[in-house]
Amino acid sequence: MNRPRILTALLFAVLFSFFALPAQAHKLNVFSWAGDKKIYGEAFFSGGRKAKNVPVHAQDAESHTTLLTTLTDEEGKFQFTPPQQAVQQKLNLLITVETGDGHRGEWLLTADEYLSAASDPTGAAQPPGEESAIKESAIKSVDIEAVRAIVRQELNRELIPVKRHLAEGREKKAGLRDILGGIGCIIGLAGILAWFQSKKKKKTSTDG
Amino acid sequence: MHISEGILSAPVLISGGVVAAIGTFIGLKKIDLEQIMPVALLSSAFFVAGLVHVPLGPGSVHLMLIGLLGVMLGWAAFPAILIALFLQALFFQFGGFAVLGVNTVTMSVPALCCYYLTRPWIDNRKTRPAASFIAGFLAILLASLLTACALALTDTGFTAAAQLIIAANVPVMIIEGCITMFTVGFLAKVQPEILHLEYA
Repeated sequence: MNRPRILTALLFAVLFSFFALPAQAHKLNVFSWAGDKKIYGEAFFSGGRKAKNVPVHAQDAESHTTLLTTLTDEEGKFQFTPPQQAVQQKLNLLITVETGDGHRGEWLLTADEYLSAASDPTGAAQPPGEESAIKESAIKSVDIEAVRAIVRQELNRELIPVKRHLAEGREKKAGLRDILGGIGCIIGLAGILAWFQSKKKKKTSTDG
Repeated sequence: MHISEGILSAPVLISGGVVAAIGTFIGLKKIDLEQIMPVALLSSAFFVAGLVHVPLGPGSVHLMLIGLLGVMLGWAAFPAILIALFLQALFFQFGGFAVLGVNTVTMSVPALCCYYLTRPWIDNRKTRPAASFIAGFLAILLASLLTACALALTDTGFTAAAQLIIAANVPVMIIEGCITMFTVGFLAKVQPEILHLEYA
């Protein structure tokens, strides 16, 4: 009597877990990186669907005051120049995306990340004043600064896909292990409940 | 349908938690030894169904099987959904632990409504297919409305949120209607006692 029921239960569980294999968790992901003078980012659901035309807020990570609001485009991408206040006070930015139907994702972009990428490549690092220095060496040092700036820019551009990959890697994907683990938990709980109830039943039957 | 962490205000979270706790308590009282396996089975089904994406419509949505849980479990849908949601938050980062209560309520209350609204017609062999389709469909619709309510109580406008969620979930409503219809039909034939039907 009981055996076919349990068999059906197992059949259903196995069926469902195979049905679900190619799917992924349902969550809104945000990731963001600093490019040359701008902050870029993307918002997408973990199934891969882009979050289109969704408001993006850049907040101070500590006080949670919103410094800037923008929208994602048709491909779920967004970009903005770091707000003045954030640059001056070297604030860590918490970038949050909310879809209005209960989904929310966030990403922390530290001040170091966007300030190093945004620092002005031309001349700012070379304060004027020591005019008496030998002309030749001055030219050399300017050259070095210029080279440094170019390298930084190029490196930034080259690193964007790498940063993107790293950001994507932060997302935890649900695998077979998670699914089976969860089902195992549920079966275990059912077992505990069954044990308690059978104990109760025994007690009442011996009492009565 | 899972509301993410950090959106709702504290009063909404707390009242959601209280309602979920009451529902779960009543649900647990109603589970007898015979019903434990069906409850665990449907809880697992709900847990896994969240991973099945429906690649239709504007949003990113997934199956929930709320109608099926409601029709088959009644009040016991509360503990079944609570446990599944807890595990989904743990393993898949769906929703979150602070919003567990609210999410449990927005999905279990529709299940319970379906139980009371469609159950009499499911017991009747002739009206069974239509009633079970309606149960699957209605459950998602009600859950969308409740989710919109929870969001509206915090800050987003109700109509805006409701429109967004319902529009995204229309394909799910139809799919769940069909799934509920076929599953109930199948179980009524093969395992009528799991549905507490009196005849085979």
